[in-house]
Amino acid sequence: MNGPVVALCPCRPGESLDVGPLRAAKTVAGEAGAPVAAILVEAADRQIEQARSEGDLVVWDVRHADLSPLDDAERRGPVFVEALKQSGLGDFRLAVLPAGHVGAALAAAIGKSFDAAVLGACAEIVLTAGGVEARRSTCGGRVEIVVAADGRCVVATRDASQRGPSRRVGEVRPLRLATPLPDRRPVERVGAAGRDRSVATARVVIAGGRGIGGDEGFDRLRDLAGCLDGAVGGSLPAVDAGWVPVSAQVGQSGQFVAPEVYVAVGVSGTPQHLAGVGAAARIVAINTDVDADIFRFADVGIVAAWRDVVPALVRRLRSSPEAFSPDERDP
Amino acid sequence: MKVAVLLAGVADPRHPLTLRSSRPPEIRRDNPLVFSPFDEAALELALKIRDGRRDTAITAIVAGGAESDALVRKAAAHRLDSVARLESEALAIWDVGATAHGLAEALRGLATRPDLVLIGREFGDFDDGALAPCLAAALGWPLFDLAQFARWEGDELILVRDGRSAEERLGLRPPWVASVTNDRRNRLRHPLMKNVMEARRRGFDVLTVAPVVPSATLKAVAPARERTRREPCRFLTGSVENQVAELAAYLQPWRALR
Ligand SMILES: Cc1cc2nc3c(=O)[nH]c(=O)nc-3n(C[C@H](O)[C@H](O)[C@H](O)COP(=O)(O)OP(=O)(O)OC[C@H]3O[C@@H](n4cnc5c(N)ncnc54)[C@H](O)[C@@H]3O)c2cc1C
Repeated sequence: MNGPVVALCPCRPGESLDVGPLRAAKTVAGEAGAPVAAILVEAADRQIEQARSEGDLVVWDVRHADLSPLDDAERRGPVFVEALKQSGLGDFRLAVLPAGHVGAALAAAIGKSFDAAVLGACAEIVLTAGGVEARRSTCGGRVEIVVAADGRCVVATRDASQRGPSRRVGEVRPLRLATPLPDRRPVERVGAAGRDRSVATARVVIAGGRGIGGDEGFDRLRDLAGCLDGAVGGSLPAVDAGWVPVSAQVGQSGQFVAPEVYVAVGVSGTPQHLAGVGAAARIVAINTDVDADIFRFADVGIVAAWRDVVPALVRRLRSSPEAFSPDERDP
Repeated sequence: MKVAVLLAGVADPRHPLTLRSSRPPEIRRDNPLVFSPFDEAALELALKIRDGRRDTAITAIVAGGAESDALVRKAAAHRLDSVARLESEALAIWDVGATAHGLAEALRGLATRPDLVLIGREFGDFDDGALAPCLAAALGWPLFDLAQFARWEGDELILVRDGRSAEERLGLRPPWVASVTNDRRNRLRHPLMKNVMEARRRGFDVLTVAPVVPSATLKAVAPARERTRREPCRFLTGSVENQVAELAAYLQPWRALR
């Protein structure tokens, strides 16, 4: 097999491009000397430019006459399938998607249409003579398995830490589609769901766990997030208790966050939780238990109850002199 | 409404994991099992649907070997219409494609077709969320993913989840697959003690499916590597006031601009 490695990028208006699949595709293809391409569906100019600046690859700018920003994977899947066919990339060896439920739904559609093996959210992906081999975390982050498949494969990745933009820029090719799509589902949208800013793209994440004990504590975490231009997330028990929405759940079964600073308050630091925190994040932990696992991974720790620390920290940050400008921030 | 709930169980995260074998069924056998938060959420959602309409029939299928019998009884304690264990050796639970096809086969083999299949957003210890969409694709049914809640409006069942910018509600026209995530409203209730005792006495079917064609091979199984860290944690000391001052100074570069 010598087909291309293709990054499939679902785009949302107003969000920056998730470059994880693109970089993973480039790394995997580069090691094997395979061609690499990216398919961006309904991307904004800024997102196309972001993909192009990632380097030597063909960027397909795909638009479908009948796709709306609210359409879900049920209608986006067929657009990616058709784009792969019409761009001549249907002989792909590997398709790389972003990890998460949208990527998983698209992987299923592509797996079915191209009879490709769906391998899940993987790291250390390599092309083999006949297919792909990759590493996947299982058993709540406690066991790693290596899976291999022959023929076409589909993987998801959440690792954006690979090679960054290069000096060469990619070539953009437009592709306009009008193939019939499945009927829209009768999904009714009511009110506003997430009150909080998204944790996925924030530079600072303040995460609360079971130790916060209630809504009032989360209000104080929101105050802290306000001081730090951050977003509030939570552990699974905090979501179960209704203190934080499921869209802000951090961990293996929630959001993967890669902030510069991760402030974990009343979080014990289980593998299932930390699987959602990027390795480069500086971790600050506030916890009453000096033996809590979170301190094994933290850069800075305070052993105290959140009530003694968080409100005082908010007061201090609010009253201290003018904030730094972004250029003065620590690299 | 006929609801099928697919359950898997996971190695109890509160215990250290024993890893003596590189075979997933043996890893499962070597560790105490519990329902995952998403198994529990799927089961509770089914019970909520039945609370709203007593003519709802619930079938639960637990995928696993004999070590999973206690989980089958745990599900049965909620007075379900039928419970069964699906012999999982043939499924190759680490292989998304094979497992999806095996589960689809088992569902097709039920005496009556379910209107709604509920499955946790992750299915067991070897799935990271890829399975539910692949199951829907294998069945050729639509998927409503990350459902959080369900309620009846007249004769219509409404599935609810938080979308990106609004709450999303879907009126169900069967058949559907819904993956279920944890939510305050779907924390699994406790069964009555008399039903727990009854479930212990009752037998259940063991379903089998023909081995499915694998879509992947398992090359290696190893303990996860420890997260690497730069230096040991710097514990702040002195009075709480001093610690707060030091932490504020540390966080200063990330302060919001006014
Ligand atoms: C299949 C599966 C998937 C999972 N996925 C996820 C996931 O995606 N994300 C996730 O988070 N979990 C997940 N979990 C759950 C995980 O196993 C743990 O239960 C969870 O991470 C623990 O959350 P916690 O740290 O908030 O709670 P706990 O472990 O109970 O820790 C609470 C901490 O708060 C501290 N504390 C108590 N009082 C105070 C106080 N006043 N001030 C400061 N500190 C205090 C305690 O010392 C303790 O360390 C998953 C589990 C399973 C089985």
